[in-house]
Amino acid sequence: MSQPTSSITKESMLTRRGFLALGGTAVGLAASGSAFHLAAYAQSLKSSGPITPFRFVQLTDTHLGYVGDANRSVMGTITMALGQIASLTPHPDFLLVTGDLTQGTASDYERKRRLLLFKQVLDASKIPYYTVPGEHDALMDRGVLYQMVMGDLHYGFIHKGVQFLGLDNVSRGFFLGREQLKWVKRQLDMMDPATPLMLFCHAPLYNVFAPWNWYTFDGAALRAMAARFHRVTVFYGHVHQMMSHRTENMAHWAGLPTAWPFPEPGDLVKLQPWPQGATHPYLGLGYRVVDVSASGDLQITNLLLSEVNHGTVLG
Amino acid sequence: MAPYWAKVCLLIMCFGLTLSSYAGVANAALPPPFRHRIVPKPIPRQKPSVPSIAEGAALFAESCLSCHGPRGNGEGFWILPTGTSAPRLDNLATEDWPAQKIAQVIAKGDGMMPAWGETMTPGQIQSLTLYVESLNQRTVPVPKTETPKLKPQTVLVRMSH
Ligand code: HEC
Repeated sequence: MSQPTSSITKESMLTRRGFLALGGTAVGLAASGSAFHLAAYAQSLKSSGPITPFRFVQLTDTHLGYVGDANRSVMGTITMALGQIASLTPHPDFLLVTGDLTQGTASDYERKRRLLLFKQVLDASKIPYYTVPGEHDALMDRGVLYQMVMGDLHYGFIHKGVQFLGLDNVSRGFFLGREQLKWVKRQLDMMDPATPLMLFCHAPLYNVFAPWNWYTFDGAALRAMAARFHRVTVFYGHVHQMMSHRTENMAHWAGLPTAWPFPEPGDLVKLQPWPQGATHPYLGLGYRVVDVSASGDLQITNLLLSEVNHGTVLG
Repeated sequence: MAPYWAKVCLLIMCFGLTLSSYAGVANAALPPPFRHRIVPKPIPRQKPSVPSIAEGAALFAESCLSCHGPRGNGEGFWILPTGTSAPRLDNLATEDWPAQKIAQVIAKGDGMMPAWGETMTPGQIQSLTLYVESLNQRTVPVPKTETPKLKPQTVLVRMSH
């Protein structure tokens, strides 16, 4: 059985300088697979309206409000990322923020304050944005304050011919739940399976490592629902590191955090961040640029914050 | 016998075979042009089964040990968003935590304790309740009439997290 031949996704880990040197344009997609499949796929796409090429950025795990050694200025690293994103050419159409916008707190007052502050910071960036909650934003009150400040816990939108669904797999535990799955099914039933589908959520939709809550209990039910779609891409956060994985017709991509990096499962027993280093304060921090081509192919570029002069934020 | 029709038949058969080979593995990576023609088999999450400590133990290892620790010892591998830890589940006094109340908190949640009833079946909640009970010295002994599965010691020895 061959891999889906027209799901061409190119990933690269570029430094910011290298990326800019390319003029921010896609680096030429290596078309694999037989001409037959590609032609048939192109044909089926035509029926669902054309895709206008566009760019968006995935930002994740900003943990605004955190005070501690893992990141001595979370506001600093968010602003750094937003500053770098603002200077991208072409400019991204929007930001996808995949959860843990704020650091969790038991105080409702403080949680609301952090969410409002996050909203202010993003509004000031003048880039449209879509967010989903992380457990730090929503587990304490089942997303009540998150909804008040940021909006719905799950929703969909269509951008330039691509279907997006933002999902909540954190606010009542690490699952989507029957209610939300019913909603997802209704959305999927209305969609053309040939049009690229992009899902974004906080926790991975497959089991990365359940002992650290890096999974979604009913992720398999969602994957089965989306089985008839030609290509599904999932953008998530939560694991604080780059990851990519494939299940059936789905490509799963975890984005770089701006708060602190986490190790792969296995290196630690208890999941805890380590103190931010003096020599490499931005180790493992960054964001992701996604370029969608007219055929729906993706060019994924992960950018590190560390390319910027270290003196600028932390002194 | 017209060789033309024979060829057409053969072609149709080949095509059918190709399609059916995809249908058998609806979850495998299918070429996009065919994917939406396959009716996906829903992945069954669990077979309907009698609630058991064994099922409870398996569910616990997947979904509870992260916060509550192995066998509910309170030493989870994951810190709650508020920086605190989930409580231990191996010292629940029978008077305070009758089975029904344990089942209730698992299904409905409480604070940062997830509302598992929104995704698990009543049978799964039942299994988890049996398992959580088995982690505790219950003052009311398990009635003799129950199935032998309910002897917690025999199951606990074999459990590894
Ligand atoms: C995200 C972390 C988390 C997960 C996962 C989790 N729990 Fe809990 N659980 C908690 C917290 C926190 C409490 C305390 C709730 C409170 O009193 O505010 C709790 C309380 C409980 C209680 C009541 C005990 C007490 O002293 O309050 C039981 C029983 C329980 N959990 C069982 C389970 C079972 C069974 C599972 C797996 C299906 C599970 N929990 C998964 C966090 C979690």
